[in-house]
Amino acid sequence: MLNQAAAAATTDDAVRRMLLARVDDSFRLATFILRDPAAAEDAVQEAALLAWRKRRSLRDSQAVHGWFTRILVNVCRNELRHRSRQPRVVPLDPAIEPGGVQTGDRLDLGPAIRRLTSDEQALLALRFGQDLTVPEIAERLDVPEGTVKSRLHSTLQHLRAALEAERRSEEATR
Amino acid sequence: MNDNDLEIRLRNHYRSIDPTVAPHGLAARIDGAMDREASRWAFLGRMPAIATGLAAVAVVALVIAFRPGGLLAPVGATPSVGTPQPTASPTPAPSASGSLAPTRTAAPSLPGGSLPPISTEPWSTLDLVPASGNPQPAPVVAWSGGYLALGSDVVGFGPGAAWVSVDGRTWAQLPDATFGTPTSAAAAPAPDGVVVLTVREDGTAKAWHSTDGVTWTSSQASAPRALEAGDIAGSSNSIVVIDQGSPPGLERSTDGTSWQPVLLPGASTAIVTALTAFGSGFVAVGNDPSGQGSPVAWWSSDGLTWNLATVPSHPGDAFTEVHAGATGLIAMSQTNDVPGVTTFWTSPDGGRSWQPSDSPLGVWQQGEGAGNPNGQFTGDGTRLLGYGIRADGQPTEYWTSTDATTWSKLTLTGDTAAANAGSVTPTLLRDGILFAGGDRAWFGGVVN
Repeated sequence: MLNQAAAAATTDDAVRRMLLARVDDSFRLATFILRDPAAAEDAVQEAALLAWRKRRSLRDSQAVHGWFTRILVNVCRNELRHRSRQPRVVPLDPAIEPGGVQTGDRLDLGPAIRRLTSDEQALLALRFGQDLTVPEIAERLDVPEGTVKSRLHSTLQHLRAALEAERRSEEATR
Repeated sequence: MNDNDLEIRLRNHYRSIDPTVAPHGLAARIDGAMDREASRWAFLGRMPAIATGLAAVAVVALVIAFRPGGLLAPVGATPSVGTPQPTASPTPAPSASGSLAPTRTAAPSLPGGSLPPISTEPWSTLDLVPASGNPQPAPVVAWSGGYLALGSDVVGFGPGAAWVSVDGRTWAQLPDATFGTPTSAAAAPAPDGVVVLTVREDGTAKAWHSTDGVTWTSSQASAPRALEAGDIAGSSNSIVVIDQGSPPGLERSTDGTSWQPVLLPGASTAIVTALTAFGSGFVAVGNDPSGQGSPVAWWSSDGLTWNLATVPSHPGDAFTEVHAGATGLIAMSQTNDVPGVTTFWTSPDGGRSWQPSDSPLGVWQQGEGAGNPNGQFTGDGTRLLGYGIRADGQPTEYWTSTDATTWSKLTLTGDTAAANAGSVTPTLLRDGILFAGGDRAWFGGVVN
């Protein structure tokens, strides 16, 4: 009984320390996926609380970082899915994303990225926003490296198609 | 553009939106939320001891009060000291069949007995029984042989595990990779059983068919590239799915294998956002983004031929959800002008015409805390379930309706923790509600 209580306290402590130490990193990842700071803040809070509630289901306290990344990515994916059902907001300035992020991206990939599935958007954020390597993504998401590689490949293909669709759409509205 | 160029553009894109640090105070808010959560559960965990302690104090106080010469001692009464009765546990014991713990078996057999008939009695009380496990079964599909839940796993990409049940109370997890390793999946009742549609990362699709939820046969399908779990509906004669292409449209099948796009009347720029079965037909809603934007709806008696519904002008709005009861439908729309503000719509004639409606329940979404009434709804073609909170800190209210107009508030008994948790998703079953989320699930069944 004492051992169980001590293990639970160790898990609680590890989860709490990790959540608080990685707030900046978590917020960056959520912003990369959602491209909206306010939504990212909500997502980090929701994921942290969800992780805290589920902390006793964590078998290996050493794996807490990857475990929380998966929870956060999932919360962000749900938000993207929810958002995809909302009316599309057309920004007045194409360099400003809905939600207020100033992209400053002259080539503006935002609209094309929004055409991808929520999984694909999350994968791009991990690879090119967080700048994680394929093995690091595989470890965080607990999937085989081959899966990450092939999904990255297909995601980039889909992004190319989305960029082309955006280009055609822009031409049609001129 | 080669791979290298595209990757450079992607890195530049994310660099341009990199916030570097979290907003001031976010860590403190998370820390505080964890403290409050820990205190709450510590309090709940001490409930039996607290209840026993309070009962003991009450008994002692009564004994003292009633003792000879005490404040409440009846005149002429014979003094006696009663034996304190044990207090009831505040947490009801799980039923013998109440476990939702995932069981990974190579060849699962359906637990429980025969499927209960569809309950026709009005729901006024649901007795919530807690069950262990981590089923996350949302959404749940009901068909003539039972229930299928495609899990929304909190880990990894793509759809998670799947569970089957005869009665909605006991569940068995299907073996891993029963449906391969798809990136998206959706399930619907089919004319002769249940169909799971899966799409792999290479865009190939399969239709998995079963009559009992245990034995599955698959065939290549001409399904859309990407699916969302809720974007499919089945009736007695066909299945309809939202093709998440660009723009989103509808495809229809009679067997889950052969799919054909359907022609939607009205503006060619209109997109479909939500879909439900209604009787033997279907209702779809969406919006036309041209101009200011406007909500658009369609109805069909067979899933193949679709008709434009009558929707009053509501510039800037887009339908986001539609749910069906036995005789009425409810839909929600949101506006570009005031994001987050929901307009509720009802249809009494099977989706042929829609009218804006006041917030039927006047409740807020859980966790929203303030602002516009914005309750949440779900339906299974027989009943509608509406839920939300009246004010911060108040318990979640649950209401049911069959026509989307007249609503009855449910009284929940038993362990109501699930019903009041914001992270829990309620799913309508034929004779109760399955509350699932976090690491537990509760079944609430009709008890009157």
